[in-house]
Amino acid sequence: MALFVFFLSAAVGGGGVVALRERPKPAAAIGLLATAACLLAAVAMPEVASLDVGSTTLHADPYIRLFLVAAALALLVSQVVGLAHGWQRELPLATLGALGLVGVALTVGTPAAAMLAVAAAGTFVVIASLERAISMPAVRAAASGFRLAVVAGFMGLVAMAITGEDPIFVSPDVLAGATLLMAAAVAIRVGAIPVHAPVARLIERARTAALPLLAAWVPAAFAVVALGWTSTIVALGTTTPIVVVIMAFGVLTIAVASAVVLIDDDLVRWLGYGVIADGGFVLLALAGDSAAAISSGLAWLVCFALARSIMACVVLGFQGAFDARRTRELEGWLRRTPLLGVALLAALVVAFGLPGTLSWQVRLDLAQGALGAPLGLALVAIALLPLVPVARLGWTGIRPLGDVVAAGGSERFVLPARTVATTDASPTATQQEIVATPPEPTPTLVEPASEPPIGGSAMGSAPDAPGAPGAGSDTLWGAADEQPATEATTLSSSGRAARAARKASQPTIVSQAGSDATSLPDEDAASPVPGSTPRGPSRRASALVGMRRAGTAASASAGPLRHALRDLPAIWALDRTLLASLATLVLALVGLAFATDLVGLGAAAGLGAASTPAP
Amino acid sequence: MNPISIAASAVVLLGLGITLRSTNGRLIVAGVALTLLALPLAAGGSPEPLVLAFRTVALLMAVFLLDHAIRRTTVLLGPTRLGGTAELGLVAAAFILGALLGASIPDPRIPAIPLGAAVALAAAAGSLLAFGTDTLRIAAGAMLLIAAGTAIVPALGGEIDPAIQLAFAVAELTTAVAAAWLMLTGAAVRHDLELADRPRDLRDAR
Repeated sequence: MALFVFFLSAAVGGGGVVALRERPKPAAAIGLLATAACLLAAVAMPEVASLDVGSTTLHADPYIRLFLVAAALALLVSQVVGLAHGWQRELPLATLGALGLVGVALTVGTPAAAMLAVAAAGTFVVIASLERAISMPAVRAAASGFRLAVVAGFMGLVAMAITGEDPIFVSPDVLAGATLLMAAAVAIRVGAIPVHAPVARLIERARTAALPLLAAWVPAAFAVVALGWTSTIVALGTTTPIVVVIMAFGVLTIAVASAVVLIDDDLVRWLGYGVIADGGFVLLALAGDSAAAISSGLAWLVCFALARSIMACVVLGFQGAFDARRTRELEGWLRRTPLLGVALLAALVVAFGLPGTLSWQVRLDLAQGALGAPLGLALVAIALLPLVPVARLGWTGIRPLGDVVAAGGSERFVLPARTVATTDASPTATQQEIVATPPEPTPTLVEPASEPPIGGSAMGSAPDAPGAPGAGSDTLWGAADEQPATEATTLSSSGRAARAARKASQPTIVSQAGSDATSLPDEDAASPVPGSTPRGPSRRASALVGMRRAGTAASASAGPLRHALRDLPAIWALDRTLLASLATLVLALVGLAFATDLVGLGAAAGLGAASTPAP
Repeated sequence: MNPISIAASAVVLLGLGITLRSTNGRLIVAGVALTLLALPLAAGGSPEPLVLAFRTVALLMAVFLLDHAIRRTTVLLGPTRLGGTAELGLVAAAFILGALLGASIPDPRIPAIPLGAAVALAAAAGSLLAFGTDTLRIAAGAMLLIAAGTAIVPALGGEIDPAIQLAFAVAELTTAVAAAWLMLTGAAVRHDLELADRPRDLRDAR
């Protein structure tokens, strides 16, 4: 039943998102609800679940259940963080489609059908890769990702076709060829060196909110299917010398990708090369030629995808709060966003592990299984090189605030009622100005909402210095659509110099009373057209005004807690940095539970068992 | 040899020929549709009627999506880097090699013509993916490559069960959705389906 609900939620949610594609807010809400429903269905799933579809039976075991729980949660959190910090309209559809296809791939009993489903997931998620500001290099990167997903799927299918359903009758040479083909497919999918370029380009060009989907969960599902097929080969007990070649590429990938991140302070590239380095461990699992190696690989895949999802959310948090993705730009970030620091620390534990944790142990087992005890330990030590840039990032975080961070948002919680209490409730407070961005002064445009403006334009009257109440950069997603009858929206040139110089194309809404500054997510950053119906920025500015007026009237007779409960939607609007950080932190804590084996991931993957379960 | 399989293989090759030789987007989509619809018969064995119906509907929806994307952009395409004639020769050679390979294997479970058709499909798809410079040919190559991977399973003696047929149909449909989105998104940048950068506008050159 739970398996049915899982697929139903993905299908109905995907259909709803498609049907409401022209209305981003309802579509985003449906996407979030459907992903949450998938998560609940996966959590409620019994240890062993099955679903009959015609003559085919879909079957879920404890490992698949944990994989689906972790994937659904990570993708839900990435949607929430993406919604707060840089929305990608296609992300809900891609997420739900991928969840459904990955669910089919992991539960269907036929290996070829599983490979087809996971290849389809790989092609489908490409729709979430591009940003709103599209360029031909980005389109080419997406096309390249599309190509590699199909090619990897084809190679996996051919490997399965070569061995057939009874690989016991196949000669060792043919088995070696099929194993090499499958390893090549996995290498292409996870971006192992030397075929890393398409994955690296895709990660660099893609929207950060889509990275958990594009670079972590779908490749991980592909690797699970490949490891499931490999377990049937391993069960034959036929060792082929070709595993040495696969092992060599795995070691090369780990060493080179871990070393490359030392010379770059771009956090997205750090994330991308981390994904590639982690792919090396998957190759080691394929080359391990033992049930223990496959079990370790299965456990590692969940840890890997969770860790990279958390890191992607942290990087997205940096981008959203400070509009920065380079270490040198983030001076003092830890003072403004300490929760992101905690989440990053947890992500490191999930990704690299501590001695005694599951993630450390499986990495060590894979490396030592491939290279022996001393060399394996050395390889794990080399794989810790990405911690050096993180240490640099941490050191940058505790330094005094830099210009970029000072001009950005923070995780400080500001109750809407308190914000309202400082707002002038006189009729002039209904006038809003949208501060267009320097560097060049722009002429003032007046956008009449429904009636001509009352009073003059308010040029540059925005005392939103860092540290002032409400100086954080907030969005109005989810705010009420109520709108005052008389209102004007003014486009003028003012704002914070450092942030405005960086966000040249994103307008900022500032109330005339100067108590709040509100930047818009990318999806809503379209410039208002004079004389048009108020949409996007002006609607949200109007909603903020209405919310403040209501809050001001009520603040005289009610306490802050009551305001907070009543203005829950507004809390989302005003504290998106905090809420995104909290969501990332929740994911990080769940990741820690997986990495420390509190949820029984090791046993579910077959660690310590006599035989490996074949997903 | 099964005459139906031979006739269907001829239709598959005809569809591949149309796909590779044409520079009209809608003809390319028609060639892909012809190939994919004839493939179950060429691959040997006929699926259950319900499964066949599901597969056919999914494929028709997939090619409709591609056709829709073309109608919203442009039907005119440039030639591939290798050239349609050379690609057609490559595919014909692949078909012959595959058929000869199948005929040379004594195992009766490996039929010659379906193996030839599967190898020809893979060659055509690989050619489109490697030498195509526009999103439509990449989409066609992706759909044909998935079909080739599925066709190779029975061609090497495996069994195509309904799960594979359904997964194939879903894979083709989702690939077409992603490809159509890629075509429309790319066309929003440079108003055609090519992937190259826009030619430089020398009027702004200093």
